[in-house]
Amino acid sequence: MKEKKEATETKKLSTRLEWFWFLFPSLLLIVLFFFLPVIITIFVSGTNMSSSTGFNNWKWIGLDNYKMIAIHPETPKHLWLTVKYVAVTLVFFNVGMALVISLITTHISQGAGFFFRALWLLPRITPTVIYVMMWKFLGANAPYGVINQLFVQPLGFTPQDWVPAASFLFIVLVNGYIGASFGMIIFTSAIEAIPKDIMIASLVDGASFMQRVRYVILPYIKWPLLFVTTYQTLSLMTSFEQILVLTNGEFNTEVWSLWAYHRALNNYWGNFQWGFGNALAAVLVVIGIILGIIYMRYFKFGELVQEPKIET
Amino acid sequence: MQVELVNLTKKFMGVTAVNRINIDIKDGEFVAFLGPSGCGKTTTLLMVAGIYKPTEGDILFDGVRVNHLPPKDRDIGMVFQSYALYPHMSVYQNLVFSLMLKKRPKTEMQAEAQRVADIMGIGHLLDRKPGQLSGGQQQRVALGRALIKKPKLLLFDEPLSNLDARLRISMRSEIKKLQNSLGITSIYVTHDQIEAMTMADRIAVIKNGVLQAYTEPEELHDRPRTLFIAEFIGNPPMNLFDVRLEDSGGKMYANLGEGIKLEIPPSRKPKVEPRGSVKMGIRPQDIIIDNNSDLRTEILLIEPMGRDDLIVCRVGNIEIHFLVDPVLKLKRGDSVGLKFDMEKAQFFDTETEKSLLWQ
Amino acid sequence: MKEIRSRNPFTRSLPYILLVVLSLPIILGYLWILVSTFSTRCYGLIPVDQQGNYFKGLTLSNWAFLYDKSKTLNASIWLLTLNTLIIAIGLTVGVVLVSMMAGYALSRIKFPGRKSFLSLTLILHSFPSVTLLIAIYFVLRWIASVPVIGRGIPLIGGFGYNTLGGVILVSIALQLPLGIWLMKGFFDNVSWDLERAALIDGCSRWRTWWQIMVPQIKPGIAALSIFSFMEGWKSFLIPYSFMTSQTKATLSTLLNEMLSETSPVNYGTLAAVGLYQLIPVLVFYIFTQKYLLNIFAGGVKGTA
Ligand SMILES: Nc1ncnc2c1ncn2[C@@H]1O[C@H](COP(=O)(O)OP(=O)(O)OP(=O)(O)O)[C@@H](O)[C@H]1O
Ligand SMILES: [Mg+2]
Repeated sequence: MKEKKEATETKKLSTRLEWFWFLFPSLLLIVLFFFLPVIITIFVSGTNMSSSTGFNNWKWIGLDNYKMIAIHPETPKHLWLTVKYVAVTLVFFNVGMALVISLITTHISQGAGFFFRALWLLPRITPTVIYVMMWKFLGANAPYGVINQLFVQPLGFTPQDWVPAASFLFIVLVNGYIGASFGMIIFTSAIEAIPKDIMIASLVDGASFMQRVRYVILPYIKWPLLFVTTYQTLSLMTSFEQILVLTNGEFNTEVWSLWAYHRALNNYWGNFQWGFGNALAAVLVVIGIILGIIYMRYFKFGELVQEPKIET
Repeated sequence: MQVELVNLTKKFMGVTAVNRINIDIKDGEFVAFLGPSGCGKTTTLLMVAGIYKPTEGDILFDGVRVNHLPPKDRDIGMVFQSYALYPHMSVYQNLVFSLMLKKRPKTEMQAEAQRVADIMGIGHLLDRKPGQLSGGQQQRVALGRALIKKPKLLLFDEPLSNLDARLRISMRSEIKKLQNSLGITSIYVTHDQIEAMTMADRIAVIKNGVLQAYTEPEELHDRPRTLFIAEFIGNPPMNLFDVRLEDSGGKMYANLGEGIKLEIPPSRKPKVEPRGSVKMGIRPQDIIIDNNSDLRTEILLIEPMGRDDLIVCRVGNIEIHFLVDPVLKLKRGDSVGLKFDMEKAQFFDTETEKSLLWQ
Repeated sequence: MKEIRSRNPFTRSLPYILLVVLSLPIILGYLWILVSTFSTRCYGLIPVDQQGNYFKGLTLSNWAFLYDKSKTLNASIWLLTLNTLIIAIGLTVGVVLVSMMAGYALSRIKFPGRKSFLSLTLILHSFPSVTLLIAIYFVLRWIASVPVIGRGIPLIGGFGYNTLGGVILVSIALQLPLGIWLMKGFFDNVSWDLERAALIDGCSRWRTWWQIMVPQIKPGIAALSIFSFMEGWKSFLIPYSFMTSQTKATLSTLLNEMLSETSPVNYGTLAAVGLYQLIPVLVFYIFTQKYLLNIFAGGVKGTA
């Protein structure tokens, strides 16, 4: 073979590391606001750091914060409330209501279906404080509240301020009316993706609406159903913004994540127990990481990845 | 520019798409890569373009190894099947984009765009967006875009396959003429053998990533070296029969069975001893109707193919295809006599799939 | 999908009745905010005047907050609007730009660790980022101690604790997994030949990205921009947690402050401020529903 000359490689290091610079900003942000916080959460949860120790005089106390959680008199209360809140909201709204709305809106005229789905998305796009304000006023005491005026008084019951009186119901409603829209969108597109002839065949067979739902639609949207359920469980378990605005944890509505937030960052006494609060948060962080990995495996997102068809 | 591919190999995650291909292309030559879908033509071309990196082997431009040279430094122009015009730019901007990247003065860009537009006949389209052009016009723009750089190598990846049949034929000769007058070395990927046969100086036939043959069109057609080439080249495809070679009285015969025994002329006597059984090939245009022939058969099917009719008939288990002039007005069920032009016969070893005539 | 046809008018209107009943809280809530914005007071959905006379007391005085600071806890509504706008725009520009870069690399460039980075994005996508708020407080305190970057930048204050820039940065980060995944999906659908043509024409990867690829995914950019702008405009928890003065942060935090101090009698101004903040969101929403629907589902459509 004859002597070969090599073309002078114009490829500089900067060209070979192009990909790195494309990713650099996101890497930086992910490290700063995901990785570092996870480490900090775990680390600080092992200390007695608080606003009284400051950032300098804290001590390493190992698992004491976790022991404290275990024996804390309020733990069972917050835990039970969280479980109840997540379960009820999930079943009745984020999955249940979402299913009902998407089933109905896919079986009425297209325009009306679209209108109602748009209506159900409103709570999600409305700024939280305004949205919660609406609920507060719906439940306000007579003569101001809408519920009292329209339903309670005409039926002859005693009007009252409903947010404190039915606080649990209200946190479920406030979150449920936002949460339902996520499932609604996913279920709607899943239902619309069911082959038309299968739906028509069930009509021809004379299936009633309920039979159709049970035997045709539900089996088809099994995966979306599972996806919404798991995804929303995690989201309900950890989000507390609406509750914070609605009751600020009063009237027995302090869910676990809000408890952590209050302890660490935002309480009346100005005593921020960063160590303890981070331990409370760490419990959720760990659950989040584990579930996140499981979802990814389970829902096989990885299979969507295609190889780049350019190799320069 | 002279191009050389040496043992060029490409593997995608363990799957070999291109397998040790050796091709050398002379300066100014027009070479076609021909092969069935998925055989690795595009992959080879993209390696030449620098889009894919070879797993093994070398690419040499004028004797210089360019394996790691990025596409922009290779001095090439490429025309894609999908045209790949920049949809958000006008035709003019599409044309001069490469010059703009080289920071050429505006006057030069305008002059060059005009020159190329004149060659391609797209002067009146310069202000339009690609979405407002017909497929044929888009392909002209794409060709113009490749030419404006005055590249040393032109790459075509099935540029005509999205066009209708008529346009395809006229573009075919236009591209060929253009390439001839500009003298730019060109590689033209296609799965259409007529395109390859009519345009190319040499054709590289590829199958499953392996180079089957690399030679002139007539050579491929008249002296196929493998069974695959014999089957693949030529339209309608060559008849292939299992035969027994028999010697008697100093003459050699091909026995097709069903009582058909054909004399092999000296020029077509196999030069190699077959290792396995033998296949004889003969093209449909080399079988003619001769009602004096002993070989009689009944017409099963007539397929009009434009200039000729393709006739399918059967002798026992042997199916024979041949071409006739439509003026003969043959009908299904007609009985005809056939004569094989044995001066055009091909012989292959079924085991090695190699020709027994040409090595 | 086929409409249910039934001869019985009751069965036919049943789905609509059911929908309206279920949607009642939303309908009533919006009605209430509309009515009370323009009323002295409200008894339920009925405007009343000071004396409690029904259907009286329609007024524009609730909008006095636009020039009268005393109505909004002495906070300047214009400053807060500007702040909110800065957060919304900062978040939008940041998320779109950073996601476009990362999304492009993940979709189009071969590099070591590409698969892992993609999986990471996905895990973060489903990860409940609010749980990290407490720890992010520490990060922001730390950034605040960095000179200049921390708290020495005009307009946004800096990127540390108690600055608009800090709020923007955190918001961008938390929105990023969604943004990256979305942009990657859009880039995935751009023809490979287009990019190859650009590379052969002489583009670097950067130029290809900016001049050839980005123009092809305009719908995706529009969708992500609108979504991010709305998220920034309505954001509450992050400014609430990381800005010390609620009356100097954003419209949402001001409203929250007012909400916790107001008695139901004075909800008029509150409703007006709320509507003021809501109007841009609604306008956006009405014109861009189609774009948004995709994103609200988190870009997860068709994966399950
Ligand atoms: N980027 C890639 N990643 C993985 N496999 C690939 C890639 N590109 C091509 N292949 C595979 O390599 C083989 C050759 O593909 P190639 O595109 O070169 O075929 P082709 O001859 O151009 O076919 P066609 O006539 O259909 O265009 C095919 O099996 C294809 O699936
Ligand atoms: Mg191809």
